[in-house]
Amino acid sequence: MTYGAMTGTKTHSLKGENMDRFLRINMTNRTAKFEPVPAQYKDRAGRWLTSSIVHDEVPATCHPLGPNNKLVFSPGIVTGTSSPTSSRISVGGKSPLTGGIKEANAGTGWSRRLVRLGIRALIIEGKADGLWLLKIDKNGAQFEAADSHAGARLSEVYPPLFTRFGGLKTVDVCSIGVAGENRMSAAGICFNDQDGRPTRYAGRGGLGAVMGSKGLKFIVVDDAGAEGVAIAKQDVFDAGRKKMAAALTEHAITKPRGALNSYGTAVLVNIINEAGALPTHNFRSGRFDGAAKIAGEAIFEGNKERTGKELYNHACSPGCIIQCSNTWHRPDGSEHSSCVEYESAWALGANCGIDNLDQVAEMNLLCNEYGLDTIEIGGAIAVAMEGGVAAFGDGARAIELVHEIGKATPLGKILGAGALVTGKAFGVARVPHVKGQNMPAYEPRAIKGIGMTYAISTMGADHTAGYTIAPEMLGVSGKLDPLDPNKTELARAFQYATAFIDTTGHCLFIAFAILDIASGFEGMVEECNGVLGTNWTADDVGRIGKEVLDLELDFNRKAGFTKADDRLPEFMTYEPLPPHNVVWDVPDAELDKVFG
Amino acid sequence: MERGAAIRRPLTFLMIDIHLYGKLRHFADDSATTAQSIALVSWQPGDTVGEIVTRLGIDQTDLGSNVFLNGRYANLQTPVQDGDRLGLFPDDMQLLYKWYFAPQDSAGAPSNNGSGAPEQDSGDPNSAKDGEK
Ligand code: SF4
Repeated sequence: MTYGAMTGTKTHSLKGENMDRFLRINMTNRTAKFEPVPAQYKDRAGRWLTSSIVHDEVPATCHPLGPNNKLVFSPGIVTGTSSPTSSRISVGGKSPLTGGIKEANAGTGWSRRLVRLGIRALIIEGKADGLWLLKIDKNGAQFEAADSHAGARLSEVYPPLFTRFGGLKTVDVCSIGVAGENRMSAAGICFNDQDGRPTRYAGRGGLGAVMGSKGLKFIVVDDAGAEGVAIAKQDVFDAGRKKMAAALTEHAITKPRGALNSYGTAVLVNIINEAGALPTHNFRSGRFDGAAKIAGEAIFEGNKERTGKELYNHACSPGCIIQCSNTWHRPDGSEHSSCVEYESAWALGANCGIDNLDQVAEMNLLCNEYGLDTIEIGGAIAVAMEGGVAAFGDGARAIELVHEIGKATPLGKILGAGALVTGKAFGVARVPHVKGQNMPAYEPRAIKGIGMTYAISTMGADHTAGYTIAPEMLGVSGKLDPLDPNKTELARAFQYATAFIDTTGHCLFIAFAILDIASGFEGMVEECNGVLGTNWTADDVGRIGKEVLDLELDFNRKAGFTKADDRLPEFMTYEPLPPHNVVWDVPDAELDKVFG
Repeated sequence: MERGAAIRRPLTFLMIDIHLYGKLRHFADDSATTAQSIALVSWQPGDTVGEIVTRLGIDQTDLGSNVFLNGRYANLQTPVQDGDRLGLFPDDMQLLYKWYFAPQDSAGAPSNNGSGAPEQDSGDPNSAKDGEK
C-alpha cells in the first residue's frame, strides 16, 4: 500500500518558534497550533503533565468517546537525553473503560523524537469524520486521509509507512488498530519498537478507542533537523545520569544478563505461581498446573531449541540498559511474536487455562495486530469461558475469539469492550475488576498489598500504579495485621514514587534498582534537576507524586467516583482462593485511609 | 554443584518436596524447564529451610531472595515441617520484589524513609535477622 502526495493538507510551521511548546491538534477542522508552555506547567512532563492537562481541560463528566474528551501525549522530563532507559511516552485522557482518568505509557523512540522537536505535550482535540494520518516534523504538522488502512493488521501497515517516510532512522509511528477504529474499550495505542515492530503499547484503559473516536489513525514523527533537549545544568545532569546507569548496571534484576534481560518479565510466571498468587481459570485458583510451560524459562529454552542459540532480550526503545523485551519463535526458527510479557503470558495463558506457548504467542501477536490490551482481552476471554462461550484451556477456540474481535463481529465487540461488559453479556458474577478494568496477574486475595493498590488506584485495577508492599501475604508471618498503619503509609508512598517515575520518562522497571541502591535514586532526582534547572531533593519525589495523584483523584471525584468504587469485587470476599484458601478481608476503612 | 541427598520417597521416611527453578533444576530428576522439577529430601524434626537446602547440596550463595515455603515467602531460618512444599529460585531470578512479601517480620513492616523509597534492606536470605517468632 502506498500513499499519494499529501494533498489538501495544511502545513503549520514550527520554524522560529521557541523550542519548548505544546502542539495542539484540532481534529474537527484539522488544524494545528503551537503554544508556549503555560507558566503553571513549567517543570511538568510525562504523567504529571498528561494528568494535569486532562484534569484542567477535560470536563470530568464528558463522554470519553465524545468531542470534549482529549488525548494527551507527553515525553518525560529526561526523555530525549542520554539518560538510560528513559524513552517512555505518557498518554492521558478520560478512559472509556473505567470512566475515570487514564494514564498509560510505553517505551518507544517515538517519544524521543517528539521531545527533540521541542514538543512537551501533544494535545488531540475534537472529532473528525473518517480516519486521518498526522505527520509531525520540524516544518510543522500535516494531515492526510488514512481511510484506506481501515481494518488492516498493523504489521501490514507499518512497513509501507516506514518506507514512505524515510525508514526507522527517520521516523517512528504511533497508531491504533482495528479495535481502536471500532472504539472498543480494550483498544490500546501502539508504538513501534526499535526494529519497527508494532508491539509497544500504551495498553490499558481504552485510550486507543479515544484516538479512534477522534478519527486519528496514525501519528508519524520525524525529528530530522531537531534541536534536541536543552539541559539547564549539564554537570548536575551528567552526575545524575552516571549514578542511574551505575545502579541499573549493578542490580541483579536490571543488569545485562540479569533477570529481566535473560528471562523477561515472564520469569514471574513461575515465581508468582510458587507463591500461590497466579490467577488461574478466571481467578478461581492461585496455582496453574501448566505454569512452567508458559514461563520465562520455557521461552528462553524454547527459543534456544528452535533457533539454535541463546537469545537474550532486546531494548524496546533507544537507550535502555535493562533490555527486557523478548521474542518467541516458531518451530522453524522464524520469529512469531514479541513481546510475550508476564502479564500477557498470564492473561492469555494461565487465566484462560491455556498452557501451550505457541497458542499464547499467537493470541499475543493478534492483540498486537488488532490493537488490543492483552490484559483486558485475556480477562474478557476468561470471563467468556466462565459464561460458556469456550472451555477453559481451549486455546484453538480462544484464538478464534481474538479473530472475532479483529473482525469486529458482534461477539468480538462484546469481548473488545472488556471483561465487565463480557460478564454482563454472559451473566457471569465472577468478574475480577476494579472500576471496570480487569485485574492484572497478581491475585489480591493472596497478595493483600496488591489488592490495596488495585482498589484505590485512580486507574482501576492496575499493577503498575504502585509497587505496594504486602508486609504479610496472609500467613507469611502467621499473623495478619491489616490495620498496621505502616502498610497504608507504604501503599501511599509507593503510588507517589511510581507517579514520579512515570513523570521522569524512565521505565518503571528502574524501580527495582533505584529503590534498592540509594545513589540510583539520587541520580534520578539529579538528572531531573540537570534538565530543568530545579533544586529538587528526595522529598520532592513524594511531593510531586502526591500532586499527580491528587489531580487524578480530583478528576475521578468530579467524574462521579466515590469510596464505594474503591472496592474489590464481592466474590473475592466469599470465595476462598486455593492453595492458601483465603478470601479478601482487608477492611474498607483501611482502604479509605490510604488517600484519606 | 552436584546432586545431593535427593532420593526417591520411601514410605517410611519423612520428606520435603522441593520445587526447583532455573539453574537449580538440575538437582531434580526432571530438569526440563517446562516440567515441575521436584526433588525429595529427607526431613528431621527441627529442620530449617537452610538445613534442607544444604542437605540437597545447594550452595546457599546460588539462592535468591525468592524462597517460598508452602507458597509463603520464607528465608533460610524458617522452620520446615514434614510434608511441606519448598520452592527455590536462584539468585538470577529474584524478580518478584521482596516488598511484595516482606520476610517474616524483619523488625516489623518495612518502613518509609520519607523519599518514597523503602529503607535499605539487605534482602539477603542468609541474613540472620529475620528470626522466627
Ligand atoms: S526495561 Fe523493558 S519495557 Fe522498560 S524500557 Fe527497557 S526494554 Fe522497554
